[in-house]
Amino acid sequence: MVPKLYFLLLTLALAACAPAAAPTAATTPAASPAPTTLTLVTHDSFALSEAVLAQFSADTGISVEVLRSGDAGSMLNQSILSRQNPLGDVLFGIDNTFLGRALENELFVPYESPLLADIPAQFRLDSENRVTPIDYGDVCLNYDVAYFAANSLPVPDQLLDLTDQAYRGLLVVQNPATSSPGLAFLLATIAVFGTEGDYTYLDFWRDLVVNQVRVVDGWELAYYGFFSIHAESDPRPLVVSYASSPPAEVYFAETPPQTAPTAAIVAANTCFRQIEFAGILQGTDNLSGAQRFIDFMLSVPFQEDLPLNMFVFPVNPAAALPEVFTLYAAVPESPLALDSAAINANRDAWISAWTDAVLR
Amino acid sequence: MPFYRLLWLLPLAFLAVFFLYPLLTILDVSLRQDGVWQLQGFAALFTQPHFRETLWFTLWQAALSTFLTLLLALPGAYLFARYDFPGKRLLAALAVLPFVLPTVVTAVAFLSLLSVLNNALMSLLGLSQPPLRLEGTLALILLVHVFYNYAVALRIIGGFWANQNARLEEAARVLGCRGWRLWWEIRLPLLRPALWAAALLIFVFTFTSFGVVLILGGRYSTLEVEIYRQAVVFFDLPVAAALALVQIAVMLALMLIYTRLQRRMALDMQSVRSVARRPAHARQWLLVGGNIALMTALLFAPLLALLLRAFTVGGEGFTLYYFLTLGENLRRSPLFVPPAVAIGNSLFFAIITTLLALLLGTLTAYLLASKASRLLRWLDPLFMLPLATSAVTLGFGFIVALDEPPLNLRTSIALIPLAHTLVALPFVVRSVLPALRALPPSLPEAAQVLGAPPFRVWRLIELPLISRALLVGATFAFTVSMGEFGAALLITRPEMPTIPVVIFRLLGQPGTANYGQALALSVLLMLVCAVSFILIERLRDAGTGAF
Amino acid sequence: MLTLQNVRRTFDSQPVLRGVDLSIARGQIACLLGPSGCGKTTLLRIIAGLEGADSGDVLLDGDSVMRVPVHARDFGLMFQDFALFPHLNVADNVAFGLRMHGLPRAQQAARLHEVLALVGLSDFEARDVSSLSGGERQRVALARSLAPNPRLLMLDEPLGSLDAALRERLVVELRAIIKHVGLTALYVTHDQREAFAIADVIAVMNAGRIEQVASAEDLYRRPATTFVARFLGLRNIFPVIGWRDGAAITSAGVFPAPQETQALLLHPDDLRLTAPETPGALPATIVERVFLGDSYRCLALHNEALLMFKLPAHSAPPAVGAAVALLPTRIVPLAS
Repeated sequence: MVPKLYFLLLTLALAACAPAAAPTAATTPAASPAPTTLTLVTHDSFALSEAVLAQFSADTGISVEVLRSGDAGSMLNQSILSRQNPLGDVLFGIDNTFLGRALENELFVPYESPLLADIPAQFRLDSENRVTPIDYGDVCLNYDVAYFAANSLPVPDQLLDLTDQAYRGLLVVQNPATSSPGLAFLLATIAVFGTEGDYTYLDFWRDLVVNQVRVVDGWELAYYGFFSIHAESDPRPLVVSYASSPPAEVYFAETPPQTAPTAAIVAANTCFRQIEFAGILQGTDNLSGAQRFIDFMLSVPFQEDLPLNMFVFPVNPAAALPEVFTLYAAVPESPLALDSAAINANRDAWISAWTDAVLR
Repeated sequence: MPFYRLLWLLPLAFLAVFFLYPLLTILDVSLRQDGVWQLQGFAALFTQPHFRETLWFTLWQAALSTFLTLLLALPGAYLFARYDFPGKRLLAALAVLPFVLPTVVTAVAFLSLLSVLNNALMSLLGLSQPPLRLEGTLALILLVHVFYNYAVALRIIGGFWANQNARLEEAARVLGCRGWRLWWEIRLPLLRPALWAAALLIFVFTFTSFGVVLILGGRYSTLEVEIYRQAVVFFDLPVAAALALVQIAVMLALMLIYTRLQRRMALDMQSVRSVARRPAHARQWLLVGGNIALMTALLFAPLLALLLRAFTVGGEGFTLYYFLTLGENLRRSPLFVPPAVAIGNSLFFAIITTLLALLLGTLTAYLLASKASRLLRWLDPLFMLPLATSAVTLGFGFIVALDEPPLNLRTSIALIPLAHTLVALPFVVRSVLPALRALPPSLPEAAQVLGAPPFRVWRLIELPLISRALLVGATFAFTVSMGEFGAALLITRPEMPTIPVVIFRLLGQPGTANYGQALALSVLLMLVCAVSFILIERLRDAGTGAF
Repeated sequence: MLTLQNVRRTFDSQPVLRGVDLSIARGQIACLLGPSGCGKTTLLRIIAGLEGADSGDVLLDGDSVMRVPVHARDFGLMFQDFALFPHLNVADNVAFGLRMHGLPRAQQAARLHEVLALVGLSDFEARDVSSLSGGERQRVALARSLAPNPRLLMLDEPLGSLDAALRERLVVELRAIIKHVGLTALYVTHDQREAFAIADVIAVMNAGRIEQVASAEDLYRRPATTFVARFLGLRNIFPVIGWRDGAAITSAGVFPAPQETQALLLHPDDLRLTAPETPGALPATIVERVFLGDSYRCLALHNEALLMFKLPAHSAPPAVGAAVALLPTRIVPLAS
């Protein structure tokens, strides 16, 4: 009994040490008919109206299967790990803060959608069209309107204001190592203060620490656990969130208020723009279906469906915004940006340096 | 070898296929790139003091959390084993509830409680500043660890205690033993198997603490958090794998010490019937009351704060709005999932997980309790490892290992109960094993001699005797599946959203309605679990009530 | 030395003890004998202090011990299942009570050796209790209860879990040890052979009451009640169905008896074959004869009454069907 048992374990252990997955044939013979299913790999925050997706299926005869694989980082890494035998055909949800990693690992098949012509150049970060921009969102400071009014406190209009005595103990931010808006905000501070010189981003962050900034791990706890419009314990009227958060506060209120209880600060050089991309995964066996899905994601019905599902802005200027966005959302005119290759090259070092400066 | 021992292969095969194989595959992928071993991860452990500090913090916070939990739960376990009092079952069921709460919700609960306490203290003492500043402190981490793990200690120790031969203690008392000596010389030594089992589980749990430390820790970080950071954010798989291996090595070392200490004791356990009785006089009632007060402060105050929050969210006073609108798709949100559907999905996975974990866990316990070979003892740590293995690592392992037929499960919905079972298994094993080892061999032997075939012996004699332990295991297996677990580990399909998935989805978007509904759904999650626990207890009564 | 006064106890509205009175003299081995469920174990636990009584008193040398907690009573109690501490070895089990009483180490060791020698387990000190045989466990349990020199040693069916041959040997040994140490002991059993072998005085219990307290010989020769007689395995018990001129009428005949007599025992040991014309002889017909090795056991039918008597093995017993005459020489009146 026992030797047999160990033999089994040994076999499995040996099997495990062998190359995990032999590369499978990446392309389907041209003669075979295009598969009628398409798998979309995306992150946990992905959402889409049933009707819009149903229309795609009706138009193309392709049924779409959605796989959510954790946060954006997990999704990307899982896709890289399974490159030889991809999880699906299309990946959606990679943003400019992690784009470099995706491109570096040659995850995608280039595809230039005919609809790309209408998309503003500022969103088209990859000249080879390995990824296609789908939506964008600006990571901005949000503030509690009532608090600032009641305390007749001026709303800060540049990042440096946050180190002012007046804002002591008022700000809650996310850890860039574990949160996507947290990372975007860190990149914003790097874009503003730089990494070299008399006053670097780390100096700024050290001053924030002196000014009693609270750092929490994720957006959820920052927003619901500490932001003063939702929280009671150690409430903070300033939070790092999105420019689209104020319309959500109106849209998801018990009784929709006349004015939004929160507002985003969209002053120049305070917001960092995240652009979300989709790409066709290498090794797909439904290339034509995948291309049609990319086209579909850029089309007006999908683009118009985005705002109320994911509270992001469509990249297609032809897509009309819902009323709650036009009324309550502010779009920063000059958001901050960093080159995605530079982000990719320095991201880990920046996060580590930030961790050392702020948390230790 | 009787044929039924072939059943032992079942848990081994399960562990090999769904744990060892994915784990070894991802370790191989991480540590050997293009055929070259990448050992710089291990070097980093020695060259970067940060990793050493993290490991040290992880170890001592786990030890402290374990000690505190055992210390605080011991009086509870004693009272639950010895006394019958009104509401005992309900209390036992409620004590497990923290286990199912997603960490973000727990964080909200504790923050709400803090503010309630602070406001009360401020108005009471006339202070201008909140006196309790626990946000981001180690104290809060420890408190939440006790909150989560109290039930583990309560159920495992209490269950074991209730089955213990009461004569031993009486013999000691007649011989002149009393007070703390009774605890030190008799009770605690006799409880040793259960104490170690509970301590081991709690240690593993807090050692691999992810959500609690991540969310509440502020500047604290555990090995598990570090692995996540290395694997997901930095995508530095060699370092992540090295850290994961360190985690596993620590765990293995711990398990070996455990098996040493656990040198088989001939335990005197006879009565299946509970020796619990009603508190007889004022002092005993005071003990019971005092402990309920302690449990209330530790476990129920945060839950109550959450409840309060769920009914007052929005700042307009008491409201049922978010409960009432759970079932309505007010804004025609495509995200909408009717709560009944989420509850149904959660229960579906939880029931499958529970059954699978009970089956495999009981078989495992028999395998480990058998005297077949001393080598088998080495298997014991193996079955604990899934708990001690970084979830991110294992999740990546599933992706790279389970990608070919016949095991093309990485995107399958079947992987959810399988992965849940992997985590639930140690709970069942740890609950059942002490009971099994304490089973007098004469009982099944007597039944065999009386002509009962093996399965009937098991069904009629052994099952009733280990039923209490099975119940504890089942409760935890169910809870593991109902709770947060797996959200970060597995690829989910939108077709079958579970309650925690819907809670996360709601919490992922701004807006009071999302927040309110997330809290309402958390309350509902607790409610569903509480009802399920009570039903599980009933089931046991119905099945073995005659014994 | 030990006196019980009207001890009562009710569990879940079931009366378990309905007023028990009993006295045990110093140095005596008393035995509580009764069927299972008669309340004898409960009574023992009340004396030990492990249970409380609803009413009544337990006096030791004239002082009530009801308010003295278990650990301070200085009693020894040996459980039926021995209740040896599984986490301690033989020596630690035996020395447990000594340690609790705060005896200096040297004295502990001396007493340990003494007691282990007494029970014949001198080389067993370091042994694990789980490795002991049934008889050895019984000795360890005895040694453990003897070690602190208790004022009263109680034994709750201490041989119950052992086989018959071992039991017969150990009971004699047990008595010798207790007498050697000079302890006052209270022994609970349901086995009358055990009780007879060990006890100076036996209290027979039935349904929460003591029916009779007597020495083994008296108990056997003169049982006081039908229950006691039956429990001791005696036959030839005939209920009184009427009275005539102060004599009791039974199915076996009419015999003089005291007023409250409920039944008569025609003691089998004192039923003899006699000549038919002997006054008081009962004519009967042999219906069964069984050879038991050391004796014959015969059943004879007299009117409607079956009478049992024994004949020595060397005698020539009457055959089945033979007409005989039986003379009862001891007629015991049984109350209730």
